[in-house]
Amino acid sequence: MNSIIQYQLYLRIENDGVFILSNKQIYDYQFEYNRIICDSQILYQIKDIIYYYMSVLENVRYIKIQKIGEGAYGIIYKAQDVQTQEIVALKKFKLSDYEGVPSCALREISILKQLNHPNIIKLISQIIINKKLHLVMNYYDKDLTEYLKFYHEEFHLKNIIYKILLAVEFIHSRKIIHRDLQPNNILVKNNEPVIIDFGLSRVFSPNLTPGVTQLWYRAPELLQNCHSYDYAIDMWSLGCIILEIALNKPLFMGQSEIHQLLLIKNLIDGDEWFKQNSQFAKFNNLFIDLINKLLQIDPTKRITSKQAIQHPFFQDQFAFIYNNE
Amino acid sequence: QQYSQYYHQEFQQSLINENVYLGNCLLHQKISQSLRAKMIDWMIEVLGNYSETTSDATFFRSVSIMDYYLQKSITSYSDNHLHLIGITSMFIATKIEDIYHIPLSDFVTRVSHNKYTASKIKAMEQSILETLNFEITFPTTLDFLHNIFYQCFSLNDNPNIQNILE
Repeated sequence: MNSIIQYQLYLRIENDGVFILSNKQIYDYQFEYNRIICDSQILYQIKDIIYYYMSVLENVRYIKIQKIGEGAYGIIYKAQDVQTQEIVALKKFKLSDYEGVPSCALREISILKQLNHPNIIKLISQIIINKKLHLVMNYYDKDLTEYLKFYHEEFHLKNIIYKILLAVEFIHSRKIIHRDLQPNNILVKNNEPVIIDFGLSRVFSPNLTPGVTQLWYRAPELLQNCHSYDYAIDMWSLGCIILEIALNKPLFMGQSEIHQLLLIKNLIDGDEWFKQNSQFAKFNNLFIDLINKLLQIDPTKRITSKQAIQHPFFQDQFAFIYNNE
Repeated sequence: QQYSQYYHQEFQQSLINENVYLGNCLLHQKISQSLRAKMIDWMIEVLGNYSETTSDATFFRSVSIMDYYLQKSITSYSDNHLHLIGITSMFIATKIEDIYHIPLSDFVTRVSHNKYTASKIKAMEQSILETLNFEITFPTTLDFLHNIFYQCFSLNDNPNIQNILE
């Protein structure tokens, strides 16, 4: 206890008046603290004592450590849970003055509440503080793009593909379309993938906006402005992602919607398109068959997530992405 | 079309699992049955004015959210609160279901005729979302109707996916 008091005094000298806190001040203080922790070694050392005081005060459970991402919806922070010392991700939504809780936040939370699966991000809780909505989720440090930069065994790659398919099948069976599948939205920890970011996803309905999914992973029917697509758009994105895992680079890198369509058209020409391309020569036949079924231009001919799981590529234990000969 | 067919079968299971019973929603409330019925009629009228941007699903979702809130809420509301709850339920439902949702300013001026301010509706929205713990995508009556329709006629509700193979 003695040492704590000493530190407390010290802190008072460092940041005058910090520990006489009302609830409002705590939040101002957090930003201050985040900035200081980067450059002051001393403050870093007494971090635990600050946490102790924070936890004594009510309403403070998470302390922001650093900003990890920003989007149209809001900001994502890495944060620490004061009570359990766990590292979590905090997703803060900008609540606009005119519309209350944004619709993407509403959809994301209500959909995440329904989904309970090991390969889908878990929503720990949601809190509203100072009219700002915070989602608390598990923290993962690597996404699929970063993961693929290092060498990995084919066994792991195949496992990741299979787990992603399982998660997507689970999402679809709840009548939900993810609509934003891309490698940045798949996080990897210990070779286990986790799907995140349900901000664009929604429950299936007959009339939908075509402007979804990142351009490189957008299905051809979306590029053609179709308003009544279905789950097949997720399967197209998956096809692109799976080939990206195998080739280690994005498949279609279009700069505009027209360019993207052209790239797709150039690659997929006729039923035997993969045989003409030397890029695919090293792949296993079963793998090529799976890709071919996923990357069908006609959405009605694309296989469903359930059929994809039962594909012989996953049944055969010794079928890997590349040919071993 | 095999795609929708397969998902319809899968969806039946989640219909059963996630069903929320709303029959006794007025049990703890001082709201009369007839007023709730009137409220629902009025909802049809309001949402009918926005028929280009809203769908049927919006209406059914609004009713379900209102009922679920009345069932779960601890505070008991009387007749004059129902108006605000109804407006806010529509506001939440339109945000979930529609591509372009009805703006809040419309709810203030055109729907409630300035009886409730924007901040009041937003406060109610937070109260509803916190009470329901954000569980607002449970299946509505419309989903069950679609399901029965599919069972009887084996039709799916989305017949017009264009064939873009040319």
